[in-house]
Amino acid sequence: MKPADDIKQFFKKAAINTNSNMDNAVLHRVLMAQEKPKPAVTKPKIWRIIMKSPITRLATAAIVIIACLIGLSLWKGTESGIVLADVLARVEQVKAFRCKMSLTMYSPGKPDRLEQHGSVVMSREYGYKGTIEVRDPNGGRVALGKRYFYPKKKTLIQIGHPIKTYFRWEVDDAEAQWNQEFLSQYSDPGALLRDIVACKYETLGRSTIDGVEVEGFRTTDPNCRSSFSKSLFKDPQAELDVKIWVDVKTRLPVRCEDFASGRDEMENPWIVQSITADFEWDIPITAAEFDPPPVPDGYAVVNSRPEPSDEEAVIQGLRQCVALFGNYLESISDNTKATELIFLAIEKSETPAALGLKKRIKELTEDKKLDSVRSAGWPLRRLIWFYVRLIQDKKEPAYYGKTVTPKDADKVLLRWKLSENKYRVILGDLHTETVSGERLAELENLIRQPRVKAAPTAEQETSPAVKAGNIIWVSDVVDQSGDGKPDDQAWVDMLKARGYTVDYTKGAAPKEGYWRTLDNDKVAALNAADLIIVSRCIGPIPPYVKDGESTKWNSVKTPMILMHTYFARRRCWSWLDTHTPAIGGLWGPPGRSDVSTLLALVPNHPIFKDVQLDSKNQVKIFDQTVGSGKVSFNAIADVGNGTLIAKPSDQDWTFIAEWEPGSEFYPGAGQTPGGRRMIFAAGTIEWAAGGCGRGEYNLNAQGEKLFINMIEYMLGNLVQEPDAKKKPTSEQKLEPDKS
Amino acid sequence: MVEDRLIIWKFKHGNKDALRSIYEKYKNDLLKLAVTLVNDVNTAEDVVEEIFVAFAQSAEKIRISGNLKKFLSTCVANRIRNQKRNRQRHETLALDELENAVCDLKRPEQWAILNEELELLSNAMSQIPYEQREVVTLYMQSDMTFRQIAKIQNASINTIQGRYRYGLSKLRSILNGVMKNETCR
Repeated sequence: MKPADDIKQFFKKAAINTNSNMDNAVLHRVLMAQEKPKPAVTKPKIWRIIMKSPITRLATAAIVIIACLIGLSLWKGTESGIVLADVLARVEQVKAFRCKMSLTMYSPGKPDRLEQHGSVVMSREYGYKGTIEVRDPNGGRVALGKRYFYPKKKTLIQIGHPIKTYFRWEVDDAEAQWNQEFLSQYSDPGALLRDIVACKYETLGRSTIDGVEVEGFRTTDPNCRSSFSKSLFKDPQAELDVKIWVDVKTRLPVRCEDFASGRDEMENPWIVQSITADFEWDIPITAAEFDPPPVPDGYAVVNSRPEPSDEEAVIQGLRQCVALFGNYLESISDNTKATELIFLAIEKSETPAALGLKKRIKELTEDKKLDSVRSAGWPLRRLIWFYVRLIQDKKEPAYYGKTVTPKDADKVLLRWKLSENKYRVILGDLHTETVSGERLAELENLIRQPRVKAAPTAEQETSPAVKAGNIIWVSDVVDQSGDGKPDDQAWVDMLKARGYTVDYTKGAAPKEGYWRTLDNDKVAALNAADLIIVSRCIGPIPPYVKDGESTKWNSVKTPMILMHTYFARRRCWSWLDTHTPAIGGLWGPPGRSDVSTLLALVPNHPIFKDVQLDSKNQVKIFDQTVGSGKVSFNAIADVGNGTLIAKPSDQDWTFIAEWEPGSEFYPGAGQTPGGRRMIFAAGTIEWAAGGCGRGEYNLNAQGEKLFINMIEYMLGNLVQEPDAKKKPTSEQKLEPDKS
Repeated sequence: MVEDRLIIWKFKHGNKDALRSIYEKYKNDLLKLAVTLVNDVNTAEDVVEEIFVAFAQSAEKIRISGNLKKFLSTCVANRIRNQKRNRQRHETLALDELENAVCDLKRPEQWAILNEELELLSNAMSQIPYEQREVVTLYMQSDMTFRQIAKIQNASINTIQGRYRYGLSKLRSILNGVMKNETCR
């Protein structure tokens, strides 16, 4: 018997079987996933994007060139070393120089390897010009493109050889500012100075490069944000090694080496190395050398940025929505949904365009059908790309497809910022205007005006209850903060002070809440209440979930507000199709993510009545000085058959969502709400560091107003007119507004 | 192999039956692999489900020139390693993260049902260092070569063979101990 045979036998005997119910459920999800392309929130593999897209390669190379230049100023202000200060002074005096650079990127164990070579000329008088080449498979080099930038003329020219395109565009003030901000990541002298001074560096002593005596300096400080290689992947744990070699006679750089290794957003390992060398300092430059290059034969000329200024394409996309669905889509922020939406239109929509498309593809094979549908969805896809790009470029976009119809000539359907106090708007009837910030606010107020019936007066707000408001507050009455009171007591006190009747029945002991394990009497009590609020002050959850408890809770007919986001997960109450543990808002190291700001996606929803949303439909609702200052969210923005009402401004997470009774929470959930349901991520996270309560009251004045509106809405006292909040169509349900 | 290639081709063309076949064919192997690597059924189930979902969503992007089982096994191993790495990055954990994890542990229905040998094996494997565990499992269970595992672990073949030998030896001694105790009961 071979030495490993006994273990091999053991491995063979070790077996697994699967539960057929779960098997079917998992298979169902897998098959559903096949229908959906990867969600938009998935971060792209930077490596793949750079390798595959000629434009990105070109852009990357262009950035490399700029970064190489900027790499020189990397050492500005490092006055802690005499040589570096001297280098800095000399580089600043140089009027023009030329250099060559190379960039190598690869992922260990993977065959793909990107090698780029470029040369660049920089003149303080005329601007930048650079060429980029890549290795071809035979070991030679292929020209990838050229880039010219004229800062004084605010003009950019880029020639892409693989795509035979000549781009030329003038940047406006906003774009110039954007570019400036973008480049300041690498070039802000103040930031760089602080950065380098804060970094540790060492001298490498004397050496010789190409017969020139040089002195070297090196930093491996991970805080050195001026490393271009590191900045490409934004891995805070990346390791880097930056060296600069300076001619001891001229005191000018001879060679810069920048090496970094780490992981990209998809956890793929990567290594990047860039070398800048062959410097020629103070070369004579004439204006003619910076003349705009001629358009090569056969090249298409693009005189404006293809994205995001292609307004016509956007309008075509919006027209297609109306043609296919009869109305605008509720959301256009998921760039993976276009094809799926077209399929849905074919299946369900009765518009002439949808019927025509259905007829056209009827006789095609499966493969051709897919191609045909994809091709038909091109305008829609461009619309979605445009909007996603606006979000990425932080152009303050807003889209109101949920409420604005093609008849609404006076209402803003889509808007984005052009420059300071200047916005472009597309109105409901698809005419366009450029408006000031003040005018935009007026136009958007038309959308925001809540159309409510029986809206309570200010008086009613403080002494509520058009309907009595018998509320059951479900809690495990935990005292994690150790102050001798249940952590969520303040919520109940606030509600009682406002005149609500609150049933705060406590269990035998903390963490053994009364409402754990429902019997018939408890179910009857829940059904008899006007509203149930499930507190964040619960834990652990399993008693509320196991042995059919989930179904009992979900079947209750009384409206329910859920503040404990963990309950919403697939394997708990199945409100949201995720089993990823909820992510704590403001979770992690300082600055990682501030999700304290709520972004209203349905700003005319009654729950926002009198809540002071700003021009971006945002409002801060938490008092972050309470407890841990943190809140749990579900890291998903697709709420299935529900409506996503609000999300954190900088995350695609569920902040507030609602579900109407009668439909599964999401397709395949296996759970259906017996009454209206609303999730509201609020109440503090307890914190392992100690002393912080679980589900403490953490609303500020705006948050409290919102919460009371929510209660009134769930009690039926604050009613939305049917046309103010249309029930989402099956097509629209697919697209939660993630903007 | 030919059968797999045909299935992959069909799958890449959006065929649901192909995906169903892949799922049926490999789910048990992948679950077993994941259970052996993490010694936690729920985590293993999550990983395998996520792998299948990601696989289903990536039909257009996936390029599989070799063996599908090895490809999926590599996905599982990578996903588990990344999860471990991510977990290590978290310096603090909120109590509710810990406490509510119980929700998953005690969920109403379990997907994977382990036989006694697999439970023993998985417990024994959890006692050997992760890198050794990964080598032994991928070699024994997923029929991967040392060269392929070396690529995954970004290490030399000699290192991988060393990890295999050490892992095997520890595993044998743990399993022998277990067997002895079982017999003495």
